[in-house]
Amino acid sequence: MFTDPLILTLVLFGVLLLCLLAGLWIGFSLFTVGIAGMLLHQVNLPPTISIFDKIGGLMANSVWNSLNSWSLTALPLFILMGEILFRTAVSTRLLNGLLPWLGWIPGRLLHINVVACSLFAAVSGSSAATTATVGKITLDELSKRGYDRSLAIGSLAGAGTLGFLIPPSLIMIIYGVLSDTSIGKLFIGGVIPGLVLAGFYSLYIAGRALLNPQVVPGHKERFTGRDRLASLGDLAPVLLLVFVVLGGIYFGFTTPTEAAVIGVLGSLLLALAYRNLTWDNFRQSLLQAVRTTGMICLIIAGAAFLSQVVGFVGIARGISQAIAAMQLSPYTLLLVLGLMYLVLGMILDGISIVVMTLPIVLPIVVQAGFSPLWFGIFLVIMVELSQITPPVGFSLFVIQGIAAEPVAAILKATLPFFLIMIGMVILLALFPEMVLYLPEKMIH
Amino acid sequence: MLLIVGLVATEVALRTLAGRSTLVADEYSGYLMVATVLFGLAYTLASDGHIRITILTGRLPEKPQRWFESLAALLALLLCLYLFRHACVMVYDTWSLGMTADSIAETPLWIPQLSLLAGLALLCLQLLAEMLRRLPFLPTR
Amino acid sequence: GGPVKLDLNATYGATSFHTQGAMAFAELAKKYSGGSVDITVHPGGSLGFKGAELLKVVKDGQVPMSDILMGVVAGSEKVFGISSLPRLVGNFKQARQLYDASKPLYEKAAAKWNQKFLYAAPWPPSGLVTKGAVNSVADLKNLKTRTYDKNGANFLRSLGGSPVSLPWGEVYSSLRTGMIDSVLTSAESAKNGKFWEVLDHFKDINYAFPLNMVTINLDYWKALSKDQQQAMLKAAAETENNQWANSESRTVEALKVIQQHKIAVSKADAALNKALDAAAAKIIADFRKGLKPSAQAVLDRFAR
Ligand code: NA
Ligand code: NA
Repeated sequence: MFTDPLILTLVLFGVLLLCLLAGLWIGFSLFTVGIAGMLLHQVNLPPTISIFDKIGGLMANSVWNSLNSWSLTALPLFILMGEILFRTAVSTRLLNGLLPWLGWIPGRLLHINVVACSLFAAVSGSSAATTATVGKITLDELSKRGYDRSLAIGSLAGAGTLGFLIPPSLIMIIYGVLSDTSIGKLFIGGVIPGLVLAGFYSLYIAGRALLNPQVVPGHKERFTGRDRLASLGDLAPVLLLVFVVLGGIYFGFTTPTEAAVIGVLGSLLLALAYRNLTWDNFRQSLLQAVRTTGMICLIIAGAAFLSQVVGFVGIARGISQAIAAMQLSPYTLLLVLGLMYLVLGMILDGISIVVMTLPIVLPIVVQAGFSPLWFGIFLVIMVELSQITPPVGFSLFVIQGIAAEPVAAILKATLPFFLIMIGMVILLALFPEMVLYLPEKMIH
Repeated sequence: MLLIVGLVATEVALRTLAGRSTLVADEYSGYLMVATVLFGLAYTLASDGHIRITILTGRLPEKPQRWFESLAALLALLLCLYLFRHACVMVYDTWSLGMTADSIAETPLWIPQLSLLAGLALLCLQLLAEMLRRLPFLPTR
Repeated sequence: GGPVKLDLNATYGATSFHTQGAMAFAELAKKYSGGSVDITVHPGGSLGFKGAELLKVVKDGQVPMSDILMGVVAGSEKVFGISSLPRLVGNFKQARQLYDASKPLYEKAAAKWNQKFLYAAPWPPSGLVTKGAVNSVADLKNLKTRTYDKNGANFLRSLGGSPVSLPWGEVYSSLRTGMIDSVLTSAESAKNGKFWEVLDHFKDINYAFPLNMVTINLDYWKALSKDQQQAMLKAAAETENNQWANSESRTVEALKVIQQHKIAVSKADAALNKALDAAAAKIIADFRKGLKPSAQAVLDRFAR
């Protein structure tokens, strides 16, 4: 049948497109493509084992394995935390509190996604959780106040992916383990690029607001120092919550999952203190969290199965080997790898991308003269990009779950931020010191 | 009823985690995660929470659109039944081979895996309902 | 047509000791079979398997071959837990003797799970990597140690410590944050994890010499020709001997490297050894219950 992995890849892309356009749910589409991949590939089977038993067994196992995960548990908990904050007055107060501080910058509250995501990324290891929590609090509030919805969605998609770049980061941990690189150095190495990227997002928002003033509401309030002082009263509880959740991780009391539980309890306490916590909105929060989790996890299970199939039929391996055989100059190599990761990132989740390609890609990259530490950060940004590329982009799904906008509108809103990220990758290639400076300075 | 199951699973997940510092919190929260998700899948479907792309099908006239949606539900139902069947095989094997987790608790793995079966069965039923509901010659809801 | 293609699942990364062993095995199998057996090693768990289910997935032929840490499948088949028992053997020579004595049991257990046992090799022995020296049982009190299995957890708990179970990927950051302050692992892993950035002592207690085995599904095995099977067995025997030798030389090498990076390496004194053996004896006795007499006999030969 299809022995050439490149042709098989194209055929599978065709199948995926067909399923998706026919309106099959994304998770089920991924399962279908996985099955197609196994059937089309020449799998060596002894006469006593049937291919359908093999595929079915793999499917059942990957559903169980991908969902039975301690680190994944943080995801629904952080989503729930966001839901609770969102359904009670806490989120309104956070925005009210930030307003006097952001009011003088062009674009005003539109920066809140960038600021809040950067803050939250320092608590959460995953981009999906960052996007979910912050988006839940901010998106509707921004629309209500008359800010441009498209810019709000785009900045959320872009800034939400900081969850992987600003430590702690699930992807960095996996990369560090697989590539034998110091995870501590990776964490520190992600700080500057993360902050720079957040800065670029803010610059872009400010630029848009200057060129096109309609994106922010017309009336503009003036704020005095007294207002700012008063706003601290609104900000303090949330900052305290962030500090408790974040401090727990940094000072070593909790793992991210446990921090998520503390976050949930903390947000419940806050809601109680503001006297907003009714049985009804608690119930609503739980149900919505279950719903969002179910949505994401069906796709995670499908992606896990597809990744397994991709591993078996040797697609990632085939593409990487084809690239290795081309003998490219370092920058061309990086360009080709970047394109490869963009394509893989369309259909696969970040962890699978890293796990499947690294064994072959890393030796090529190191041979071309790049440091594994630098490449780790490069890879993290490629993974971030994969979060916001269709058809499988977890941040996109999360946003769709929150914003209830058509996918096309979300994609359009996200595009500028996607391009900023690409710019960031180029900048990293030109100035590798952005990654390497802090780790060299701080560890020995 | 579905909602209650989802609720309880989530609540239990929280309570278990809150009383942490046991050596099994990570193991059991993993199991509860599976249960929450699997019971949540059917609910998510019922409340139209799963994502699909409607760029093309959304532009069709109503009748063919409903045919398409019904067909998609049928395909998903077949996949789900296939998955359910093999999940049954997996759980049966896990039970008959006496497999336990490699943890302090040595939990017999078939017990948490039961949530897989229950959840998939519910999802199958919900998909069947979705398929029927969208058939053009049947009244909506 | 063409060569027989087989997939071999390897749990650890491409540069890790056992994955490299599996790759060497694949090369040899190809060479001895005249290119008619083509084994693809999938490192880093990239096929999506975690560990505990491996005995079952090889049994069902979901993956034809796998590298399996025996300890994690002891929940499926008890006898595979022998090599991860604490302080049953004290050096590589004894570890090999234990392995030779248990091999028939392993082969039988593998056959029961519809697979052919090909070879097994030990991890470099685990010791205690700590912040600050551990010289007596008192120093073990309240030590927050990451352990990799339930034996390790029970062992340290009975000595007064607070064992923590964490995925390997979270160990480094948890050490940094102080959530744990020590790790029960080999000098080799301490070297690969660059633990000298956070820890400074290695207590060489020869806690255990856990084995990894490589097996093949029997349906796949029987579909091979006699010549191919012979080639595989020859490759397995050669890989096994090489891996045992490598494990020992890498341990020596790793101890040297961590010392160069200012991790102090020391052995346990008689008093500590005695306490450790006592704690181990309880775990071995518990494990012994419910074992078949043939396996009990093996344990009795080695228990101190
Ligand atoms: Na983060
Ligand atoms: Na994507």
